[in-house]
Amino acid sequence: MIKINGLTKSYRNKRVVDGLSFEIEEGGLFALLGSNGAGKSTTIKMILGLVKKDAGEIVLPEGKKIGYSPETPHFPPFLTGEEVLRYYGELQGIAKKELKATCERLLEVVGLDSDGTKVRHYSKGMLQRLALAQALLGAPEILILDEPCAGLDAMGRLEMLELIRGFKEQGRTIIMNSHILSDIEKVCDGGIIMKTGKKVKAFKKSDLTEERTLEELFVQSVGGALGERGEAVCG
Amino acid sequence: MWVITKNALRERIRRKEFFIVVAVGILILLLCSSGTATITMNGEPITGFDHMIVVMHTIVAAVGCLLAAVLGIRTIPNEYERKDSHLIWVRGISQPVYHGGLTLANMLSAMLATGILYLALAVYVAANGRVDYLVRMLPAFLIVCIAVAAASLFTSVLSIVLPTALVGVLGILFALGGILHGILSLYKNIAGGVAGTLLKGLLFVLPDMNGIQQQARRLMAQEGVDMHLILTGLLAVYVLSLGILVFRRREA
Repeated sequence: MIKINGLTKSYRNKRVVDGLSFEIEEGGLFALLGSNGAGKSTTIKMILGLVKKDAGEIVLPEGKKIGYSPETPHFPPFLTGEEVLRYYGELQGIAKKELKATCERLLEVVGLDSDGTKVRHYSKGMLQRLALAQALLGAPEILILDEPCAGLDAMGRLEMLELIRGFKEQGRTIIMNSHILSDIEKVCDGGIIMKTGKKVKAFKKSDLTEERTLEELFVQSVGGALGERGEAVCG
Repeated sequence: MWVITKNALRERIRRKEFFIVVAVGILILLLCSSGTATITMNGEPITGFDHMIVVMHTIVAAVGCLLAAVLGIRTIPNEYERKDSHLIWVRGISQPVYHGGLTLANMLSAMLATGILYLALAVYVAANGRVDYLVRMLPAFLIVCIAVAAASLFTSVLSIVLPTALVGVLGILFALGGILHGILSLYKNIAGGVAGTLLKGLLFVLPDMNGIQQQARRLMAQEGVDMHLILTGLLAVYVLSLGILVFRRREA
């Protein structure tokens, strides 16, 4: 189980994550939802140790490997997809003997060809798939996916969600951050809705019904701001 | 660390600064060697090989040091801006290994550029039939690499913690100060008061890159080599490399 307790982070006196607490069950898909600037990415970065927390506690299960797929992946443009995976695999200390087979398999898993196309010729969707493939190197038990469907077309999104569902079925714990609520609703087991760095609502899959969709729950939770904005526009 | 270096080196040698500076360096060497450009010293035109090799060797070392400084300015900040650092940090790679790998790539790319210019110099030496110079060019190149490494390390290490613009100014000043060490030493003797004291302090801190390149040239010419200058250069490289262990980023 992953436990987050009282997580706090400020940038120049502006609190971006404010006393955030939640727990993530092993083997589930946990969603971090919120509008832009809600503190989702900062929370993810603190869990990964990329950003230092000001206060709070992050308890990760011991000995479990974490794979991370960033929102805007950047890879050396002169490398091929396979070379990118080999680079990160070597950094991870995967033996050279098994690395070639692993890279080919992962490219196949995410639906990319090992045809020697350089990354500079990759579309946004292909980059997202490659980012996912590098996150899978070393067979991590925990996957952290930051906006994995960003920039993908409808078919790309469906394929990505299918992949994510597959990883969940393999027993991996997945933390996912997305703006696309309908996507999250299809695959998640639960999550939290954040607003200005705070948790405003925690939900489980069982809380969602045809009448009470995630979108409605989301609007209801962050509705204060939406309502105010609407009033301001209407005068 | 070598994995990071290898990848960063492949990127570095694709940068346009690399090609531009090497091309300009070769062009200057060509102008010097072909006699198109007239260089005079104390009113006397330099035409003979023994004089021209001094000028050309100084140009090669100066271009190498300046390129080393330029290449080092943005390498590490770029990694953090593009968030490449995220995928490195999450794999548990320590900052000294990460920054060390990138710095080594900077040093090697600058050395590669200097090596290309050295090859151009070798063509000039061979065209003049000076085989005696030619056989000592490899150890001489390695001596010049000490100065190039110092310039590269200085900017790379500072770029871990300082803003890019400041690193650019300090890096170029460091490289220029090292290249013009001999001239600055002359001014130090002339200048008095606070300026003289400041210059004295500055020259104490700056590695004598000009002195180092002169020893490389002297080695080629089978003249006496001042080992003290080479060892001081190596000490400067060692001290600067400690910055990789000392300077760290708070966040990726």
